[in-house]
Amino acid sequence: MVFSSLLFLFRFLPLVLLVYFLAPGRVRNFILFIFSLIFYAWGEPYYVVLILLSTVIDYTAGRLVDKFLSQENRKKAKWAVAGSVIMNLGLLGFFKYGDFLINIVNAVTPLDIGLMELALPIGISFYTFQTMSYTIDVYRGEAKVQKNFIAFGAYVAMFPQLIAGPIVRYQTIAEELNARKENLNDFSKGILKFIVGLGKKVLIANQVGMVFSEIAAMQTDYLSTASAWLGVAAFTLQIYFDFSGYSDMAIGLGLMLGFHFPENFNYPYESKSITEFWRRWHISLGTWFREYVYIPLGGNKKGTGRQILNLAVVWLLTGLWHGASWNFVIWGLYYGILLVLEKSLLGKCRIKLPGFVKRLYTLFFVMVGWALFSIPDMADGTGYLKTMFGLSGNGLADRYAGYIVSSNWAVFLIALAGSTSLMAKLCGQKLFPENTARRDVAASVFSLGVLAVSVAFLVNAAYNPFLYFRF
Amino acid sequence: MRFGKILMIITFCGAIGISALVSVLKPETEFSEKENRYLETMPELDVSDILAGDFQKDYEAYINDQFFLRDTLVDFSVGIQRGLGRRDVNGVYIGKDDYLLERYTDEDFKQELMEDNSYFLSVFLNRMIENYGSGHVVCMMVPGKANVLTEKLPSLAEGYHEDTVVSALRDLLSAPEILLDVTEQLKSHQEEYIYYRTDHHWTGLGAYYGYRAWAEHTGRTARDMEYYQQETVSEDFYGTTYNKVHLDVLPDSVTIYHPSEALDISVNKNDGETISDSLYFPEEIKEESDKYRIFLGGNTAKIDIKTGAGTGRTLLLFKDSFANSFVPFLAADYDRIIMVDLRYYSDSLSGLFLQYPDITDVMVLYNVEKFIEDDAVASVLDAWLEEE
Repeated sequence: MVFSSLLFLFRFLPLVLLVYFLAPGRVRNFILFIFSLIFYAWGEPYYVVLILLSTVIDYTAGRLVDKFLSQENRKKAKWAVAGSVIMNLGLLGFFKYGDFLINIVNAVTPLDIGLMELALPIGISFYTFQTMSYTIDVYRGEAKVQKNFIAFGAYVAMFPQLIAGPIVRYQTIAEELNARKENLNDFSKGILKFIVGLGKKVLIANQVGMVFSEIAAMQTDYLSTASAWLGVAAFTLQIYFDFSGYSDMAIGLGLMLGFHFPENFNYPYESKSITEFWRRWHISLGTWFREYVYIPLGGNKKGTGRQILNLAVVWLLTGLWHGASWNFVIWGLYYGILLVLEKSLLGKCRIKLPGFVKRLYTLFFVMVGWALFSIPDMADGTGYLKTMFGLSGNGLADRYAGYIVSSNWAVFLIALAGSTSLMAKLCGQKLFPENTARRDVAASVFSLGVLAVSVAFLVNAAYNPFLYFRF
Repeated sequence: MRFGKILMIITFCGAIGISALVSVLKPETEFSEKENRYLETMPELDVSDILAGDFQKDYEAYINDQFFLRDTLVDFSVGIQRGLGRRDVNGVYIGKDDYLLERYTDEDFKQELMEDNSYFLSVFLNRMIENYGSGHVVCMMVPGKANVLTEKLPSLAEGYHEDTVVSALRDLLSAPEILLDVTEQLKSHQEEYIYYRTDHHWTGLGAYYGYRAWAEHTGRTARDMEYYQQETVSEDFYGTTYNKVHLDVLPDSVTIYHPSEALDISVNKNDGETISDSLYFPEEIKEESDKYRIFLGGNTAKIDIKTGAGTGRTLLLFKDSFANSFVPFLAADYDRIIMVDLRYYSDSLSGLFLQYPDITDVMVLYNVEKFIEDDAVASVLDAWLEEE
């Protein structure tokens, strides 16, 4: 199930809110757990077993770690952590990377192993990372063990962030799992956040997404350099509004239910360097890799050589985390290299560049990165990049590119404005300051409007005239 | 302040709660006039369907189809997109002078299917050229509306690159001259009413110009327009293109053409399923919104037409719906026309040639876009090759 559907908005959500708030506080974790499982099982009736498995593994591992630590047996505790990590990565590896590995084995050895062709269980990259973080946090003493299986299950399967994050570390919401105070203020904030996310997804991401998918599907001979850049620009906007919209909806739903999830995006396209970009893009993933991979490997404390190796490992994994194919590996290493270069070269040169030049430089490399990211097939991707840089012999610009601009300029402009902090500053601080009645009324009107328009777009997308010449 | 928060919560919860209730309580609509199709109704609960995920899919389709104010919301969404300057909405160019034109890009077609269709059609045509001689085989490709009515398109808009499809097919033919692309002929008449404004089909007039191009191509003399008596059978036709956007445009009128010297027509659909003495089916469009069905009563697997023209020629015609308005002009040139629509045809093609041994000519007539997206062409012709 996805948030941006009539099913979620007009069946699941009203029902959850109704049951959740009618129930007394102590059974709310149970309600959340059950509804989350239904949410998950809706699209994946069998794979719901995996999420339960991951829950049981880490519930048990957490208890064991706690027990061994209380007996002051760190070695055994370490083994319990290792068990959790191995089993979670095993699940992830089998379902997400199985065929990728088989392909590699088949390519480098004379073997010819058949592919498994399993559908990727939704959200597996998110919930395995979350459950691992719990066991590790307990081991490190950064979180208390959770003895209540229901509360722990509610954390793992929690439907708001189950499918696309943010990756909420256990320590972040440990207290709220045991005792939280849902309140009007958070609830109304949550609504606004949810609606903003819904609008981002339905009204912007889906619209610019149509431009990208159309251009990506073009026969290579017909793709001009201008169209290729338009395609990447559309994808750049699509992935930001899609992903940050989904995170906003998750955070908003969390607030309604009394949880405070961390922000996942902070206007990344305003960044003045690649380093800054990664501090503002998918923050919860960056935090996860920093806390559980980079720092344990020694971070920057063991010399430059070791630091570069650590960065390489982190970025290889970051790339692979996004998908099991070579373009993601290259995309991850691309950022690894850019970040090392930025740290070593730019840090030393003291020339002051104007802000907009730094922003353009960042955006340029980010867009080239998205080109690598968005086209899984290496040959297609190479061809696309060639066209972007005018190396394929196709024209620089054509009528098609002109048409795309003429028909989509407004959506692009809105998206562009929305990806900067300008609107938030204007609306949030100037026009409607926090804690004013004006803000509350405006927020209500805005929410209702965005909801109505989003629903209209959802209905239109599902609208499917019967083409009777076929029948 | 507290009031503001409560206002927000009441607005939102009220909006989703009431919409949910209304959607649940509203009686089910079975048929959508605007979409011209039956809507999904509440699926039955069934454990095996749930485990397979089928129930969930049907249920989502049901919610989408039965959502209250559905048509209004679609119009609202189209209106907003228009307001934001979009020149095409839901795959339709909003053209000039009330013209709505289908917009096609590579995304709408499967490259592989496209290549398969061209390949199998070329094998078929080459075999026909071998059997009947290149002078007796014609493959007519009818361009899409956006490729002809270029003046009606929004500025900078263009039709699909049909030329690559046509030339790829031509390259595969043993006698390339049998391929007749009528784009230029139709374009030279683009000021006239040759395509419906709200439907993707050509009008009777457009088909007439197609017929002239065919006559010129095959060395026959085409009859003048004056030879036909015109009869307008509908003035309120809203076609498939309109159904996708519901914009406020003029309805189309549908005109049919009767030759001054009447032929002794007999139409036999699917070996006796329907018998008629006319190429036009006024009964078919009384209730139906699709007025194009006046021509031969719509598509079906096989239509066997005897004309009594006394030419000694029998035509086998593989076709899509564009042929339905074209065939009336062709009637006087053949004693018998056997129209086969591969999308509905499930018998053996070899059997067809046995059933009609007196075939003298073969024609294939398709609209380019319908041809490349049609998944029957390759599969039916492939099955025929295996039989042979």
